[in-house]
Amino acid sequence: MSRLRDIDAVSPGMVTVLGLGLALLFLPLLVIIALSFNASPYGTLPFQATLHWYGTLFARSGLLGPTWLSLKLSALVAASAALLGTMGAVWLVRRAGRLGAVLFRGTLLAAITVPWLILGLAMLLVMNAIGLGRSLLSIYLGLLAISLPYVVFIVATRLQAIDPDLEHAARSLGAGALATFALVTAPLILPAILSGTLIAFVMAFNNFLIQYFLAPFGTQTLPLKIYTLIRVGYLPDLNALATLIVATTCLLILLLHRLGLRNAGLPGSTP
Amino acid sequence: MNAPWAQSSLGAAEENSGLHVIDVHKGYGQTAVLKGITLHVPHNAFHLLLGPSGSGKTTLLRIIAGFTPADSGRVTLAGRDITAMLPERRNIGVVFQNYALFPHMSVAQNIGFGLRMRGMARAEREQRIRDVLALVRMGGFAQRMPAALSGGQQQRVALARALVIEPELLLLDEPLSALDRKIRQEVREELKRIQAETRVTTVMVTHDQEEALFLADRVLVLEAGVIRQQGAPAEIYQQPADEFVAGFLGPLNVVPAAIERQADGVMLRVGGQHLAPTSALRDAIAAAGLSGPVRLAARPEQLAVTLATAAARPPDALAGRLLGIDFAGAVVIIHVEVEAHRLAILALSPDVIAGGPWEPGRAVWVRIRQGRVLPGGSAG
Repeated sequence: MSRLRDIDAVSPGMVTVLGLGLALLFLPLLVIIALSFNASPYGTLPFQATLHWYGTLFARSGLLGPTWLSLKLSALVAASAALLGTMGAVWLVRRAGRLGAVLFRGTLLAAITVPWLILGLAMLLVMNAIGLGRSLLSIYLGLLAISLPYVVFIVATRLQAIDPDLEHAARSLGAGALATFALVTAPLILPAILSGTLIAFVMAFNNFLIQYFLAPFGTQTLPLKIYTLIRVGYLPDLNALATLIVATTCLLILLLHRLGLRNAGLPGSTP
Repeated sequence: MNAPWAQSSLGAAEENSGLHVIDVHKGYGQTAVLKGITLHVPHNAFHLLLGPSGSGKTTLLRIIAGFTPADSGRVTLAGRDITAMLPERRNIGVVFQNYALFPHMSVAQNIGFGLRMRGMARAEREQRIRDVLALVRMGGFAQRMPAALSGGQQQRVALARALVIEPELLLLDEPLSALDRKIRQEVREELKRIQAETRVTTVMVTHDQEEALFLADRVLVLEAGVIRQQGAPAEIYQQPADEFVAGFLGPLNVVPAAIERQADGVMLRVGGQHLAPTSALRDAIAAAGLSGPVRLAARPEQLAVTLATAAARPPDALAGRLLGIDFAGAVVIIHVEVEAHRLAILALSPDVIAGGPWEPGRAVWVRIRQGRVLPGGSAG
């Protein structure tokens, strides 16, 4: 038998590695989902199916308040990042000079690469210095700063692939700069704006460190609440909440795909 | 000057009509791209800017369209100064090299875009779209998306989109270069027909001299930001102003020679051979008014070649050696060597293929039927 194989063929070894990687990612999630339906509060077997913890979550736990706060805050951050990030991307790709582009990219990269621990501390110092201190506005600004670069880079990448002559054509046909953006550019970069917004939302929702440094005392976002609970021991109603969040995320991505945004650069979409 | 565009006796209306570009300069950083371009495209004319890449022709087009500001100089269109006008107010239709059709709009929406921007009512818009699609022979395609069209079809839609706004001026930026050779010829003929039908004042940019000679009323040859020559296609092909223009418009053979005046008339010496010039060449020598070392320039079709016979070399032919033949269908290119200079000669295929043993190394006689006489360089 020839030792030559089709170089594009998938080898059994590759499939095994892929399987292991996926298992590492998803097994903990599956365990949490399973435990949220288990009657034992300590995660012990035998498995007894129950919806008890979902009842607790909505009736008695203190989790819904922080969840709602996190959702509102993240949505506001994501919407702001979408608007400012798109403007930044348009400036970066279509207007910036060489020096301006390098500086802008560098600044955004720094916001991504500097550890959040340092960033959070630095933000707290600045917020104190300018009199905002620990406040919801500070959290909002801090989360905006760390999620904005993702929107700019995702939208800029898409914008770079769009022929500037499309915009020139619109202008020559009588559309002003604003109409050209609204009718030609925006529809073409919309998938990138949406996926950037989604990522900004997730970044804002997840970021524990920035929220930890900037949250006013007594205010608890979901990550802060979970952190507190883990230190004192928690009930499986948290598992129920986690299951709901995973389910919502899956639905959201499914929805975006159904909306014809398969090319949005979302996980699982083909570019 | 007897060129019509230069006559100042015309009325003011004629003077103002069409497109005027007046002493336009443009540079990027240290590089000067346009060095004082002045041109006039009369109303209804079809002019072509021909030049190699880097000659500044696309920059000039973008300045006329309003996508790039000029550093200095003026542009007027139909009597209006448009130098500082926003592109959306100029009423200029532009067809781009890569079509630039809006990918998220159907053919009808693409064509209707300019009409929508002008606030035209839907019913009239649809009528105009139908008419212009008929003009470019794309009748059944209104509801297609651009991605579902071939390159040639996309280019027709792009042309329709630029024409439907009834522009004062149509600009075409290398509109054929992205097309296959066969489609290119088709679209080229369509372009000529449509321009003749609509009579829209047109400026097209190209680096393809074949397109230029086929399409335009008038060709402007650009090189390094300067207009080197302008004239009717046949004029600049047959009487190029300089060697650059001549070489850019088609292949050119250049041979150093010397003019020697003898008792019985003018003789040419090429290397060690004396040549009695044809009457056309004698006229060219007289017109050039040169003597001594010169260079003879002739296009491949201005030379003729025959196989040498046992007889003595005729006085009007140069002796040479056959190097090889390139077969190109209807015609052949015959490569010969005369006095260590390589020449390319165009002949009809049947004359060569049926005309005896044309083998490399054969002795041949080359006649210069027509040509031009240029001042000689160092060679004698």
